[in-house]
Formats: sequence, C-alpha cells, structure tokens
Amino acid sequence: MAAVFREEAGRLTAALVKRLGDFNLAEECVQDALVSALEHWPREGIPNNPGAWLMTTARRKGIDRLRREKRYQEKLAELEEPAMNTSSATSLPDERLELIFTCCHPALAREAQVALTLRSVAGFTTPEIARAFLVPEATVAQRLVRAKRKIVDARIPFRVPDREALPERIEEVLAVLYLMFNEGYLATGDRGTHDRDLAREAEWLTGLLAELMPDEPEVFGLLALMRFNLARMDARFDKDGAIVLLRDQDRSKWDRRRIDETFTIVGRFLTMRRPGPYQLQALIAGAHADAKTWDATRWPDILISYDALLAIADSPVVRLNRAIALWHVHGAEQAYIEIFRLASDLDRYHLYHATRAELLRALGRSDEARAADRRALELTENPAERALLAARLT
Amino acid sequence: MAKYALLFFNDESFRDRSKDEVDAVYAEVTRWSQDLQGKGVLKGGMELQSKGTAMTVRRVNGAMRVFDGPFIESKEHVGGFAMIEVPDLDEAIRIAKAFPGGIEVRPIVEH
Amino acid sequence: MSKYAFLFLDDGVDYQAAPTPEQQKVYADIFKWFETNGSLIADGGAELQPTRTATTVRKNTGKATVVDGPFIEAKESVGGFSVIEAADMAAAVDLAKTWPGYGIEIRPIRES
Repeated sequence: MAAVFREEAGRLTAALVKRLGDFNLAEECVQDALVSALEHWPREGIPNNPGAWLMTTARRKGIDRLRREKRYQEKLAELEEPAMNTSSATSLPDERLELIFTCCHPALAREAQVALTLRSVAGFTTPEIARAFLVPEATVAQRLVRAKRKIVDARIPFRVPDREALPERIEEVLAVLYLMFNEGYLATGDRGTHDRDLAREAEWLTGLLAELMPDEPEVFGLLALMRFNLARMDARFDKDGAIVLLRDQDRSKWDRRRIDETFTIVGRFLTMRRPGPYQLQALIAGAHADAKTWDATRWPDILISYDALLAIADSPVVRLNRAIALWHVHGAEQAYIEIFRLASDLDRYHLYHATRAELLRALGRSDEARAADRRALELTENPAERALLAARLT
Repeated sequence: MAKYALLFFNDESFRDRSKDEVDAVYAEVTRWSQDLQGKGVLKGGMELQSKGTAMTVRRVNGAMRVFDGPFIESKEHVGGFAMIEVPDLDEAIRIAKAFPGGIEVRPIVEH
Repeated sequence: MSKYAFLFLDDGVDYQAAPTPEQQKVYADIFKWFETNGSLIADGGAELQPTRTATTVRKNTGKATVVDGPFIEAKESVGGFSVIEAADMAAAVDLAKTWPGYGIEIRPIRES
C-alpha cells in the first residue's frame, strides 16, 4: 500500500493544487482520501484503479469540507466539475515536477521542505514523517502547517522555475533529497520494520525527478550516488548493529547487479558534459563500488575527482574526505598536514577526529590516535557509529 | 498580482569606502530602481539616514518611553524600503537578487 | 518641515488566533490615529504581514542566497512603515508617543 500511496498521492496532490490554486486545501483533500484508503483498503483490497478511487474520494471529502467552510465557495465548482471525474483509465497530467519545486522552494525552511516533499509527493502521513526523523508528531504537524501557510501568504507560485532560475532551484531540490537520503541511510534499527525506508524513498523521489527532467546531469549524479550507496547496504552493519567501515566490508554482500546498472546512469551523465558536485561524488562512489577489494581501489582516480570537486564546491568536509584519498596516493604524512589545517572548522565534527585517529595510527602515533578516537566518540550521536568507535578503543 | 515590501539591510560599512566605490553602489541602485520604475513595478521607496540618527519609542508598562538609537542592536539594520507589485514571490526574489545589497522580502497586508 | 520614517514595531506576540477584544481596540485606535494625523502623513506606507511570511536574500561576495525568514531574527520586528512630516526630531518623537500600538523607530529620511 505504501508503494501505491507514494505513486498516486503525488499525482493527486499536484492535480488538486493546480486546479484549486490552494496548496493547503489540496493537501487536506488528499490526506482525507489517504486516511479513508487506510480504513477501506485493508478490508476491501486495493482497487484496480487506485488513482481513480483516491481522486473520487478526495473530491467527495473535499466537497464536504468546502460546504462547511464558506470562504471556499468558489472552489466548490472546481471539484464538482464533471471533467474531474477520473473513472476512465487515463491518468491525470503529471504535474509532480511543479509540486516538487514548490515543496522545495528556497523560501521554506529546510525541515519544512523535507516534510512537505515527503507528504505531498511521496504520500507520507504525519506519523510516518515523525518516525522517520525521530521527532514528535506535533513538531511535524506544525512544520507542515507553517509551510503551507507561507506558500499561501507569501504567494509561492505553483510552477517549474524559468530557465534563469532553474539551476539553483534544481540544486535546492537535490539538497533536500540528499538530506533525506542521508537521514535514512545513517539510521539504525531504531525504526520499526513497518516504517518506510527514508533512503529508498529519497532514491525513488530522485528517480522520479530524473524521469521528469531527463536533461539534468546533476539529478542523474545524485541518483547514481544514492544507488551506489544503497548497493552496499547489506554490508554496512554487522550483526550487532555497529557500522562496518568501507575497507572492512564484505564485498560479496554488495549488490553487484545494482552497481552495474548504476554505471549506466554514470555513462549517461558523462555524455552530457556538464560536471557538477553530485556527479563527482557519484564517480567517487563508483570508483569504490568498482573495486574488487579495498586494496584494489583506484585512489589516484578518486583523488582526481576530489580535486575537481574542490574546484567547484570547496568545503572543509570535502577537504577532509579528499585527505583520505591523498593518504592512499601520497602517504599519511601529507594527508595529516592537509587535515591539520581543518582543525578550527571541523573541531565539532566526529568524523574529523575519527579520520585524524586513523592517520595518527598510520603514522605510529598510537596514544594520540586513541585520544582522537575518544574525542570522536564524545561527539558521535549515532549509535551504530558509537559502537564502532567504542570497539576501537577497547 | 501581489504587493511586497523590500526592506534593504546593510551594515553601513560601505559608507567608509572611497567616494568612487560609494558612488558606484548608488549608481547601481539608481539603475535598479529606474529599471523597475520603467516596468511599472516600483510603487514607492525611500532611503533612511544612518541608524545613529534613530530614536525609538516603546510601550513599557503601558506608557510610551523614549530610547536613543534603533529598536534593535545589530550589525546590520534597515537602510530603506521599496514597494513592488509583481505576480508572485519568485519574481520578487528575482528583483531582490538584482539589488546590490541584502533584502528582506515581505508581503504586505492588502486591505 | 522634514520627513521622518516611522517603522511601526511588532512586539513579537503571535496573533494568529482571532484578535482579543484588547487587540481589536488597539487596531481601532490605530485606524483613528491615521485619520487624526492624516495631514502629517506624507506617505501611508504599508502594513507588513508577520515575519513568518518573510524571505531573505543575502549577498556574499556577489553570490545571492535565498532563505526562509526575516533578515534579523529577533523578538521585535518591523510590522509596517509610514512617512510623516515634522518640524524636527523632537516633534516626530512627540507624535510617535501618541501611537496606540507597541512602538516606533523614528529615522530621518535621506533626501536624494
């Protein structure tokens, strides 16, 4: 049912927003329909045409709602119009691209963009969003209310941005999707088996975006990056739930078929010849995915990608990750000098100290390495990462 | 169509720059506002004197009290306003981006 | 006579729910204030929607970033503005003291 919701809720929301011209109202009609589906479908089975069922229900619930609230009188005509009847098999025109750009508008706070996208495009309920991010339901509900009100009050338009603004608006959408992915990817077993997998949802959304915008290489870059990461999922945690580092992972557990398929996407974005940060990160992930063993990793290729990444998206974290490649190509000492410069920027970042510890160990400075590991442990919140660091210290 | 107020923020340090640099900034602002005026988008605007000239009147325990200075102590402060009328926020943002300085975009209350 | 901007201040209390009778009286008094002082008001200006509707565009060495929210996060914010005419700052302050709302920042206009 989650898959059906995900596919249909987005289309439905987009169509209603377009027709009603009111994000909040459209959203509420869709939610009413989803709640109704949750009541009926487990008993009656999923209908043959779930989209039509949801649309009919959304219209009916919407009409009830509008009749109760006088201010929406003129919207009533929109829902009662016969053309909205989707008993035919033809699906609604896909306006999900407009919906995605609206939900990810830069005028909305990042948490609001995330919640709204999951809700409107992927059909998540408020409790599902709350569980995915381990925040109270009331917090999510409030974020959604505020975001929808801002869309109305500040007149955030429902459309695909024009050419001039498109590059940075796409960047914004990708940032939202990447944040979602990382949140899901770093999650541990705190989430129930019935909870929706945030990382896979983010991947699905990115795949949808790639379908809707097939000429944007950065979208394919992010998609490839996510898929390379997902292909390694089964090897990431040990039986006790601790994280297993890339170099220690059992590569036989990697999904090789997925990795091969993802290289097709890499080929696709390479032909577009418009490099960008997500594409470069995908190439790095691809280089790792391609290596049969840790020792077979082609570090010089990875270093080249990091150098290119630095040129367009310089940041302390990028420099930190590059330093690891530097280590394998030019030695631990040069790498250590490189990360030493990042001390003030990254002092509160646990992975900085974890990396420092590895380099110090490689340089034979084991006492300092242990101190760095301890500092990393202090700063780490994620239980799986803590387990790994704690094990190193024993 | 929707009306937005553009609140210009600056830290006034630009006034410490050379006369040529300051003139260049003003020239850009003039170009920007003339462009908007020509398109019928600009519905008014004003520049304020420096925050050092400000006085604040505030209700304390029911009575209005007078304070020296702006209402908030901050590095950056409001330096002026403009009103625009455009179809939506995307257009307002595009206009704000073209301005040589920081802007807060706020929809107005339409009565 | 000189021109002064009145930046009408918002005390940061969220009036999302229906206004209380107290607040309704203030709005009515504000309406009357504009009527009474109409001859001194050079530009009616505008009333702004609350800061939760604000979007900020920052500039940093040429690059523009768009973020949700007001330029400065603070309890008090600008809720509207008008331009008045007064003999001098002291007269402007006297006028501001009659404002039925929370507060006003007064700033001379920079005439170009």
